Amino acid sequence: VKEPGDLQELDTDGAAAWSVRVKACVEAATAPLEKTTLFAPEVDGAASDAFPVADWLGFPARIASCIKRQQTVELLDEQTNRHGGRSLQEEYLEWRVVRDPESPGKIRRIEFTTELPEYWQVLAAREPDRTLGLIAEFAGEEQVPAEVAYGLLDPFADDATPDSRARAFGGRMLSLDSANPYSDGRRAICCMLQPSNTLEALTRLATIATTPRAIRDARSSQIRCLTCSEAIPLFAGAAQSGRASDPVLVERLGRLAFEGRRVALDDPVGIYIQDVEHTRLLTPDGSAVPREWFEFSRGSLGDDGRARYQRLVFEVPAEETFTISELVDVATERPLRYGGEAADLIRLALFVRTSEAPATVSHELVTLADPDKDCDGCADVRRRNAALRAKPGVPAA
Amino acid sequence: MTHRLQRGIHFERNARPKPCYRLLLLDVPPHATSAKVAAAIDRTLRMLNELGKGQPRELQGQPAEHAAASKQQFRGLDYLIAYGRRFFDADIHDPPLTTAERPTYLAYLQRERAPFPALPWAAAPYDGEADIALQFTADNDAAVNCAAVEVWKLITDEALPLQTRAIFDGFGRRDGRGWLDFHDGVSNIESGQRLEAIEALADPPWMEGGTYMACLRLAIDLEAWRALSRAQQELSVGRDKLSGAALIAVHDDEQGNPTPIAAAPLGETPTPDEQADWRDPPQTIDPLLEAAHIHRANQSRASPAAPGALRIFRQGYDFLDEIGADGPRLGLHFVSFQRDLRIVQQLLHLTSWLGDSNFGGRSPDSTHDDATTRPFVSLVSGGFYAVPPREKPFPGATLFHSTE
Repeated sequence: VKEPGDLQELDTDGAAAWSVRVKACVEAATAPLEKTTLFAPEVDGAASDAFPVADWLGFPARIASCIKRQQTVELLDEQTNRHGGRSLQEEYLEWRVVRDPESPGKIRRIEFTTELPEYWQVLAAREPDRTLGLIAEFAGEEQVPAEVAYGLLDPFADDATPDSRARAFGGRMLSLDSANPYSDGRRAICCMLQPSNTLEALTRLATIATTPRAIRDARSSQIRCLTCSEAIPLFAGAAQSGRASDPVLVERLGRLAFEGRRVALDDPVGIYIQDVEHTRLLTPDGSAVPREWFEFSRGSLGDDGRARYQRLVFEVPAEETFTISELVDVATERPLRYGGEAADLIRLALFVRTSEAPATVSHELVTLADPDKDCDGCADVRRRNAALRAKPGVPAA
Repeated sequence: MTHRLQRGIHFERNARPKPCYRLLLLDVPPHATSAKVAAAIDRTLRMLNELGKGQPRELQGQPAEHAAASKQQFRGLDYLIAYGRRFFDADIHDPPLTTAERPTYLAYLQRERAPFPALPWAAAPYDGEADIALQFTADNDAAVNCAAVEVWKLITDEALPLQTRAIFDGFGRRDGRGWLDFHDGVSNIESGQRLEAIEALADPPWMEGGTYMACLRLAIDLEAWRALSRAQQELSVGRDKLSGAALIAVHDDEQGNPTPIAAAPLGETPTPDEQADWRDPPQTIDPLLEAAHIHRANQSRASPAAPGALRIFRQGYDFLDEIGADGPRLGLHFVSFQRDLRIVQQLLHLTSWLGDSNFGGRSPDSTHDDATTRPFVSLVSGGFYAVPPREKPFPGATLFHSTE
C-alpha cells in the first residue's frame, strides 16, 4: 500500500506499518458486513483504472443549511477546537486562517489540508525527525521542540518505541481537546482532526455504502438502488445527511454495489484536492487571480492526469499591495473574509477502482428506516453557534 | 405535495413545460419610491391575474361570446415574478428599493470578461440584468405576447414607476430535441425529487419556499456544430444522435478516430428500469465519455438530497432570432430553477464540470486542440433572479416592507 499522495517519507518498516494500518481499517470496517463489496486497495477483481467516484466542495454544506451561510463562515473560523470551527470542518478538508496580527480583518494566508491523521500517527511513530521537520515547515519556524508533538516522551530516547511515539503523538497532536497550537491552527495545521475526517471513518462509510441494497420503488414497483435520504438512516451514524461529501459518496458507491461491482479504494488511499476555482476571484484592479497563488503539495499530478494533492496554501505574493481579504468572489460580489469562503472553491475527490458489472445481479430488498422527525441534524451546530454568539464582541445570530 | 412556489415552474409529475415562453424585463426608474413600486407591481400582477382568466383590461364588458373566446385564448397563461441583482443595487436606486438582505449568490454576471471560464460573451451581447423579470408561459404565442404588451400598456396608461427593458422569447419542442438535433433535457431530475432541488431555504428569510432562476441566452454556432462528424457530435453530447441512448464505450476505428458505442435503444415498451438507465446512464470511467456534456453537467448523478450533486431543474427553450445571409441566429434560452444560485455558479466554474469545456468533450487546454474542443456556444444575454414564494399581496411584497 502506497503512502497517501504517493509520498515517500516512510522507510521500509514504516511503509509496512502503514500498509498494516490501512488493511486493519478496511478489515475492521468490512468484518461485520458480510455483503460489502469493498475490498482493500490491492485486491484483484477491482481492476478498472482509478477514477473519482465522487467529487465535492470543501465548504461544510450541512452547517450552512442549519444556521445560514454568514454565521457558518464565522463559526468555521473560530479557533477554539472543541466548540469552534475545526470540529465542524466536516467535508474531509480542514483549514487555518492566518490573519494580519495588526489588522485581524486582513487574511494573509489560508492553509488547507486533507491529510489523514492515521498517516501522521504512523509517520510520527516511525519518523520523528521528519515529523518534527514537517511541523516546523508548516509553522514557518526553523525547528520545533519534540514536546510540541510528543509531550513528555523523548521520541529519540532508546526506550521510545513506535507504539509509545504513536500514543504520545496521538494525545498531543490528534485530539480536538489538546489545545496544541501546532495542530489546532494557531501556529500550524498538519493533518485533519475532525472525528469523521479519518481513514477509519471514511473506510466505514465506504464499506457500508458498498453493501448492496435495493428497494422496490413505491410508485413504479421496480427495484432500484437507494437515494442518500433512504440509505443514510440505515448506516448507524457512518454517514451524515446534508453534507456535501457523504451523501454523494453514499449514492455513488451504492450505485456501484447495486450494479454488482466489487469496489476498492484506490491505492494510495486518501482524500485528494483536485482543483480550485481561482477564476472566481478578482484582484482589486479586476484581474483574475492566477492559479499560481495556490500552492498544491503533499501529493502529485499522477500519470493518469489526476491530481492527488493533500495540502493547499493560498497566499497573495508579497510584492502585491493587497491581501486575500481584498480579493472579490465574482459569484457573490463579496470580498473573501473567511476560510470557509475559500473552502467553497476547492474540489475534493475520492478515488476507487471497480470490477466489471456482472451480467445479472440478484437484489436483496431492504426495509427503510422511519425518518426521525424530531431531529434535523442541526442541534450540535446550533449549540456551537450559540456558544460563539455568547462571547463578548461577537455579533448576535 | 405542498409548496409555495409560484406558477410557471413545471416540475410536478406529469407536468410538461408549456411550449411558449417570454421573459419580460422591467426596470424601476431613478428616484421611484419603494411604496410606489410595490403598488405598481401589485397593480401589474392583478392585471395579469385577470388576463389569465380571459379578461383583458380594455375588453371589460365585451359580449359574452367574445369573452368566452378571450377566456379560451388566455387559458393556461402562467406568470411568475422575479427580482434581479439590480433591484438590490443601492448605487442605482436612490432611495434604495429595499433594505432586505441580498441572497449571497444573487450577483451580476461579469461584463468586462467572460462570465464563466468556458462560456464567453457573444460578439454583440446585450444586457439581461434587470430589477424585475416577468416570466410568461402558455400554450400559444398570442397569450405570452399579449401578456407582455398588456404590461407595457398598463405601465403607460397609469404612469406606473416601471420601465420595460427587454423581452426574450423561446419555444418548446414536443419531440424532446434541440437545435443540435440531439435529445435534450432527458436526464432532468426525476419528478419526485424536483421540489427538493428547487425550493430555497430561509437564507435570507424572505426567500424561504421560493426558488432562484438562472437565465442564460446561449447563442449556438450551428455552422461550427454541423462541421463536426456525427461521431464527434455524439462524443460531445454523450448520446447516440438518433436513439438518444447514452454512450457506453469508445473504440478507435482503423484511422484511429474515436468511435462511440451506444447502449441499445429503448424498446417499444421499456421498463421503468430501462427508462431510468436511459435517462440517467450508469457510471462510466472512460475519460472521453466522462468529458461529454451529459456527464459534465451531472457528474455525480446523485439525487438532489445530496448537496454535492449540484442538481438543477432545467426548463429551457430554444429560440430563433433571424435567418439572414449569414445563416440563422439561434440558440437555447437556458432556464434553470434551483434552491441556491451557488449551484449554477459551481456547475459553470468547476473544472471537469462545465468550467473547462464550452459544452462537452475534451477540454481545450489538453493536447487535443481541434474542432471538437473549440467553443460553439456563447452568451448573448443573461441574469440571475430570486423568485420569492407566493405571498399576499404578491410574491416579494416583504422586500418592500424591509425599507421601513
